[in-house]
Amino acid sequence: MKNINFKIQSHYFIRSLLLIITMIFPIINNAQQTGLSIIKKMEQLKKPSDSETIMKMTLVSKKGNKERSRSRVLTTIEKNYEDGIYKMKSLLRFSEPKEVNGTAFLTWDRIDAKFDDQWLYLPALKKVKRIRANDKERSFMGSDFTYEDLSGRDLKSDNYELIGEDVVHGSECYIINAIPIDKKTQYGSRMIWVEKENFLMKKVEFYNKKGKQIKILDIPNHVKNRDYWMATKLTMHNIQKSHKTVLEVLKFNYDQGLNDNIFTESYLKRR
Amino acid sequence: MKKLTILLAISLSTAQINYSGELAAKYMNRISDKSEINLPYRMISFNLGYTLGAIDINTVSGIEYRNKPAESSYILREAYLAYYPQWGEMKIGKQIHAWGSVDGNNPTDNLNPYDYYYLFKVGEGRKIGVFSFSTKIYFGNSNLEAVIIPKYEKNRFPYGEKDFPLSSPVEPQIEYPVKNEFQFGFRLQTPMGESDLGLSIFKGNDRSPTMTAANVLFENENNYQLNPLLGYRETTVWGLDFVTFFGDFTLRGEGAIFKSRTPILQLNLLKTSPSLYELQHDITYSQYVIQVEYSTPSNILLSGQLIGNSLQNEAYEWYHASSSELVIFPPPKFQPGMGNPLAMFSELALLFSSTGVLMDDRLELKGNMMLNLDKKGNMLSGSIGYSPLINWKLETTITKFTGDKGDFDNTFTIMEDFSNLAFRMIYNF
Repeated sequence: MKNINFKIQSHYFIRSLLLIITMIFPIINNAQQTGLSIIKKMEQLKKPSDSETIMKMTLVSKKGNKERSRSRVLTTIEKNYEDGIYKMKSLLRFSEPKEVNGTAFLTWDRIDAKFDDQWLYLPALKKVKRIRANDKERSFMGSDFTYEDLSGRDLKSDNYELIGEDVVHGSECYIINAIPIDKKTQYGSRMIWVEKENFLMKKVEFYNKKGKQIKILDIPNHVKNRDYWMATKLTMHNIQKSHKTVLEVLKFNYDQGLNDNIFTESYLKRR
Repeated sequence: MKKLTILLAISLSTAQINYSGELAAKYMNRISDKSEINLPYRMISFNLGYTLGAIDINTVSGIEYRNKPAESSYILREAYLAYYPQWGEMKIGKQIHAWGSVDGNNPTDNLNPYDYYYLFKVGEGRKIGVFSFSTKIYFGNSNLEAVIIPKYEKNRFPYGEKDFPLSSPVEPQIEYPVKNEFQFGFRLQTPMGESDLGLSIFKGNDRSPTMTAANVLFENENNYQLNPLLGYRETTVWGLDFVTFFGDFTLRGEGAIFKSRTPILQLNLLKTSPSLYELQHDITYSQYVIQVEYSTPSNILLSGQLIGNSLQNEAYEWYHASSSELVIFPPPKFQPGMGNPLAMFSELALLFSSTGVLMDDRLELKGNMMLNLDKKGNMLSGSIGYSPLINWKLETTITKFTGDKGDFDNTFTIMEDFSNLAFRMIYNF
């Protein structure tokens, strides 16, 4: 029953990962930039109407000079809605490790609901379970990403200050310091590196409430696929635990006109 | 022919074949004297699927193996065709179904017989596939499921297994096999706010045999001996299940009322023994499970189940098979023929389980406890699984039953000698 621990809030993962990996080429504005205007440009992302992504998640632990890794492969399928009831429906299915092959989550993200509707399919039980969890500070599937990292924060939840410029992964970047207004967060602040040319997020440093750096997110590579920019690799370094999580996109399809019946319990059980 | 060939070629080129499975080697020994517990186990499980658009063909098969004497047998657990139209799903073939909201021990889930060799497995592992037709129709956020089972299958019990304490020495003869094999059920599931509610009905035959008639040997009017003859009662199950949430806690519940009666027997009067007496047994019993779940910040899943079952109503009549004359014999002992298989252990029990995964999926720790609240008795179990390489796992499980020394009929007392240490090596592919 190892797979049972993989439950909860997978939709944040899908939603935010797509936010991170797919970014439409924005109109470059040469006017004076502020922290808020840069973040707004980064957030003004046109998402595909639907998408299917196969990705590999590798957990890497370090002891001395020795690194040990363990990988999972998962597929996420997502469809955005404009029917006034749902924002999005999504499905996440594990294919590796083989022990959890077939374990899958279904999420219906409602516009007016406090919590999303979520179901978990466990092949060992051959049953679809209705689930819910709401602690955003928890680790996502034992990775270095928390649900808060993946769900992102509302634009109004932070103050954004442009504090400088830097070159990261070979790209000229703005550095923005995000200080929370809404204190319901595990972080004291976040430092965000945004590429000047295309407004792509390249790096984030996470600080705790005592001002100590705890994690670093690196997004070194982006590729342009038709209208969409896509991050092909994300690495979250957990400084305190000498541990990191690497997310690599193996395959990405979008705007396929996916049917609604993909987002039902029946499809959740399909292998 | 040319068109058919082209169609077939297109079908094959767009189809997907997928497979997965498990190879396992297992060794179990008694804690008491370290002797081997020699029961069959699933050494190979193999899932093979073929997908073509909205159509799937799935099979689940395997090899069941016994260490001593080394013997193996092929088992086909499932083989079905599934079609997924816009409105839901349709499946036909040998299938394992799953109804209800709690994790195992479901009183409303009576579509499949149980394999008592795998009594302590969770979920589908202890079920036997049945040939059936099923469909699920979605309307709004609700769905209606219908299952038709034209062919009856009984539970599989370990007979003559000296290493399984609850085993009968020989398989009893069934004098009254099931006449009407047709069984069916419906389940409606609907959301209510942030909760889900399920209502179900199943009409079928018991999977465990019970006394249906008896040959009675009279020594005198007050002194006689009843030799039971076995058959299967007809049972209708009305079920209700729900899931709801309180903060970080999940509450799942399931209850079922079983209305069970001896079927009208069709005897050949010419062959009827003058000592044969038949039983008309009408019983109403209930079973329920309340489950509370909580996941800790470090993703350790804690779960507790309160499992209860009780006899609500019972009426019985004994009558002479030939003359139909009513007679007074003692009441038959109540035995549920359907429902939660753990009902044989206790009328009221508490189950706790915890599961934690550490070291980037390498280490898995599990703990289980079953407390009998009805009589004295408990079961404690702990398991450590270590995965040195991806898809490989070494697992050690210790299980200890404690009964009541003064109560030899107590199931936990009977199971004490089954307390064991088990080792498994598993490869998933």
